[in-house]
Amino acid sequence: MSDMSHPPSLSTPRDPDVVDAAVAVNSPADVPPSRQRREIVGRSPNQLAWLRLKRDRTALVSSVVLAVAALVALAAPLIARLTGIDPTDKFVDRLNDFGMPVGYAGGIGGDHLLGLEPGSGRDIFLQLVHGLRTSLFIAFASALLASVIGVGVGIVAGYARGWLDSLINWFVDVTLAFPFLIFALAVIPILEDRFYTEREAASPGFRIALIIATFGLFSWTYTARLVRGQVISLREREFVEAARAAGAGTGHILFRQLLPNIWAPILVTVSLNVPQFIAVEAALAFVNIGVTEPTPDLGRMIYNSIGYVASDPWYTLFPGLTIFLLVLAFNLLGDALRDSLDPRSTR
Amino acid sequence: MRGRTRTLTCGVLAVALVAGGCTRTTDSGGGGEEKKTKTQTGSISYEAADNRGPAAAVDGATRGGTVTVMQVSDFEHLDPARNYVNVQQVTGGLLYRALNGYKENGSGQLLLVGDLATNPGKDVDGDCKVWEFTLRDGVKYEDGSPVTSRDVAYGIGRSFAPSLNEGPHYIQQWLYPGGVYNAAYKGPYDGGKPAPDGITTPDDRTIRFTFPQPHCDMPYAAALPTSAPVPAGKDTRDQYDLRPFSSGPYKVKSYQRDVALELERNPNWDPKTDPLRTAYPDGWRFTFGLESAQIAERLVADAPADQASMSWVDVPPAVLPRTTSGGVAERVVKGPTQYTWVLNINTQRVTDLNIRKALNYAVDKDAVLKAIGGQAAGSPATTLMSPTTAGFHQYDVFNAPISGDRAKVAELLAGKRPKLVLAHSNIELRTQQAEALRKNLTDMGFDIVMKPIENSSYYDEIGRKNNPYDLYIGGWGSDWPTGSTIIPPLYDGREIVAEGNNNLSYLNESAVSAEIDRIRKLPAAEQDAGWMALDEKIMRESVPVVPCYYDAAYELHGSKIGNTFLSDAYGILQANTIYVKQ
Repeated sequence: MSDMSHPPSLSTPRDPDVVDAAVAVNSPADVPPSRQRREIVGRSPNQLAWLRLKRDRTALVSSVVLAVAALVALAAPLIARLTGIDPTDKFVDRLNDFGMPVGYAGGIGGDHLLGLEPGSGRDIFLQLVHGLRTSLFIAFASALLASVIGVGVGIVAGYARGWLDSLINWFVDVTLAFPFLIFALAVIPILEDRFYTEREAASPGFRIALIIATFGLFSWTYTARLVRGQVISLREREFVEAARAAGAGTGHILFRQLLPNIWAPILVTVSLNVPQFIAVEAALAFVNIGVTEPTPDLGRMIYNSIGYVASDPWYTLFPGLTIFLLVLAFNLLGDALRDSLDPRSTR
Repeated sequence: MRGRTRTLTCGVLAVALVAGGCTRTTDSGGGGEEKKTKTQTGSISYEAADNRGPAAAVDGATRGGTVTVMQVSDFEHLDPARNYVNVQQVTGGLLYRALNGYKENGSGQLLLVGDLATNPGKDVDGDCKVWEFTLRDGVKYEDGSPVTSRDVAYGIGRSFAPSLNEGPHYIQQWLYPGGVYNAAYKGPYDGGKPAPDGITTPDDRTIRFTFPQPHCDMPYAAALPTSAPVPAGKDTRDQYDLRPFSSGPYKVKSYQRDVALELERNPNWDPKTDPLRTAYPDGWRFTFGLESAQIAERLVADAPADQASMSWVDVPPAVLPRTTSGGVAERVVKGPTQYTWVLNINTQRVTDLNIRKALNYAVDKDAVLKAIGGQAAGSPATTLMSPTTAGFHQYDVFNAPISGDRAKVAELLAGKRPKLVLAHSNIELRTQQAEALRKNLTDMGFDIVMKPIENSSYYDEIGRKNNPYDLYIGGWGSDWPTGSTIIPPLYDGREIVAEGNNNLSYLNESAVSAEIDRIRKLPAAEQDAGWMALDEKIMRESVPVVPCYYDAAYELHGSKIGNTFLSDAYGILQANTIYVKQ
C-alpha cells in the first residue's frame, strides 16, 4: 500500500494504477524519464478512490460477505417458500422431554439445515434469515437517518458561525450527554401505550420504526461534529471565496460547493455506524425493548440462545457467528473505504 | 474489558462445542419413564407415636456442618404473621414452631401432627366449631423463657394488624366471618386487645378457638406460620421480619437484606419436644441475588466449596440437559408440586361457552410445556386441582390429543374466528410460552394478540376485575392438600373484588357458589370427594380455564447434602431432617 501514501492532488498528473509509474514519480532521480512512455490519464479523486478500493483484498472479501447477507435477507420470503417452512413454525414433536432438539448438533438435518431452537422448536435457519432481514433493515435505516440529520446540522453549524453555531454545539453536547439506553427504556414503552390500546398489539413495524427513530435521534451527533469540522476547514478556501464573490447564495455554497468535498468522511461514518447499530439493536433485546415476538430478530435470538451455550452450543453458534461476520465485514469495509478515500490516513 | 469478555465467550463456546457438540440428543431427556404421580392422602394423625418427640433419626445422618441455600431473591417476609410463600414457610420452620406441622420422611407419607401442640387439635364438641390445642411441656425460646399459649394468641392477634397483612388469613376470617377479616379487630397495636375474640387461653399451655361456623380444616390452618408464638415483649412490629424471636432449632445470627441470612443453633431448643425436626446441621446460610442459571451451573459443577449447598430454585431449561449424567442425576430432586397452571379465560369477556370449549380442544399442552423445560417443568393437566390434593382422581372432559384436536375446534367455532388478547409476563420463559400458545391458537383458528406485561406487576394486572385481557396463564397451589384452598378461592364468584383477585377467570355462577357452600358443610371425611366432583362439574359445565400442566419441581443439591427429598407439603426440598455429610 506504499503507493497510496501520497495524496494525488499534491503531485503532478500520473497513473496511480501502475506501480512502476508511481515509483518513477516518487524517485525521479533513479529512473530516466524516457521510460515514461505510457499515456497519461487524468482521473478524478473519486476514480482514484475506486481504483484503490478495488485493489484492496480485505474490502473485496467483506463486500462479498455483505452482498451475500443482503441477498439472503432480501430473498428471505423466497427461502421460506422454497423450504415450505414459516419462521414461526414450531416442530415441537422434534424436541425431547426437556424441550431439546432430537438428533445430532442441535437437530441439524436435511429438513432443518441449522437445527431447531430448543424450547420452541423453530427452525434456526429460517429464524436467522428473517432475523437478518430485520437487523439489516434497522441498521441501514438508522444509519441513513443519523447521517441525514447529522450532515444537515453539521453543515449549517460549520458555515453559520456566531450564535447559531454556539446553539447547535450546545444542543449537540446535550444530546451526547443524554443516556441513550435510559431514554430508549423510558420512551419506547410509553409511546407504544400512547398509540395502541390495551387490547391491541403494537404492530412489528411500529416497534421497528421506534427503534430506528431512537437510534437516529441519538447518533447524528458524531456525523454533525465531523461535518462541522470539515466545513470550518473548507469555508475559508479560495473556491468558496470565489463562489461567494460570484454572488452564489448560501444554499448553493453549502450544498453545491461544500458538501461534495466532504462526502468521503460521511460515507465512512455511515459504514461504521451500520455495524454499531446491528450490535446495539442486539443489545436492546437484553433489556426487553428490542423487536418483540413473533417478529424474528437476530439480536433477540442471540439473547435467547446465550443460556444454551453449554447444553446446545449450536443454537448459540449460528446467530453469534452471523452477527460476528456481519459486524466484522462492515468494520473492515469501512476501514478500507476510509483508506481509499483519504490515503493520508493510512499508517 | 469488552475485548476480554468477547475472547472468553469464544473460548467457552469452542470448548462447549467440543464437549457437547457431537453427542446425539435422544427422545427422552432423562428419566422420561419415571411418570408416577403421587396421590396425597393428607391424613391428620392423632397417634401418640407420630406426635411424640424427638423426631426419628435418619440412617447415616451426622450432626454438624453448615448448609448453604442459594437463592435468586431475598425472602419477602420471615415474620410469622406475614409469611405465606413456600420457601419462606420452610425457612420460618427452622426459626419458629406453629401449633401443627407436617411430618415427612421421603417415602411419600405426609402426616399432619402437633408441633408446638401435643396433637393436631381437639374438636371439643365434635362440630368443628371449637378447637383446643395443648402446648408441649418444655418448649423454650432462644433466651430460655417458656413458650406460653398467650404468646400464640398474641401472634395470631398481631396478624390482624393492617401493617402486617401479607400472610394467610384463614383463621382470621373464620374468627370474624363476613366482610374483611380485620374490619372489626385490628390487632394488639394502638390500644387493641392482645388477642382476637374467640381465642381464649384458660392456662399457660392451652389455647382454644371458637368459630361461629364449623371449620373442619382447622388442623391444617394451624400448620400455617400464623400460629407461631410471638412474645409481646419481643414484638418489634414491622421490624420483626428481620429478626423473628426463635422458638425453633435455629436463631438468626445475621441478616443482611438481599445479601445473606445466617442461622445458628438455638441452644434452648430441646429435640425431645420436637417430633418434626432433627436439626442436624450446626448452621444455615442463605445467599441471595444469584441468577438461576448461575445457581444451577454451580450445583452441576459441584466444586468443593459448593458441595454442602442446595437451592429451591428450579433448574432453568438451558441447564436441564446437563443434569442427566450419572453424577449430577443423583443430585436432582424432582417431583410434582401442589401447583396447577391453567390458561385462564376471562369469562366476563369470553361469554360464549363454545369458544371456551374450543380453546380446551385447541391448546397444544406439549408446546406450552416444552417452552419452559418439558417434563422437568411439569406434566400435562386435565383437572383444576393437582394430583397432590387429597381425594384426587384423574378425569378428562375433552379427551383431546396432547397437541390439540383441530376438527373439534373447527366444529365448535363454526366458521368464526374469535379475536382474543393473550397477556403474558415479559420475562423470557413466559414470552416463549406465550408465543408457543399464539402460534398454536392461530393455527387452530383464533386471532391472538400478544400483550406483554411487566413481570413484577403481572398478577396485579390480571387480578384487576375489569382487566382488558381475554387469556392469561396463571398458577395456583393449595395451602394445604385439600380442595378447600383451591376451588373456593379460584372459582367462587362471590369473592371477586375490584383488585387483587385470585379468581382470575372471574367465574361467577351461583350453581358453583351454592355447591361450594354445600361441600363446606359436609363432614370432613366426605369433603375431599366433594371438591373433586365439583372440580369436574366446573370443567364440564362452566369451562372457565384450560388446564395446562401440573407443576413439577426440579431442584439440585451438592454432593455433601444428605436425606434430600421433595417436601410434599411445600413442593420444594425439605429442610427439617436434612444433614451435611461429613
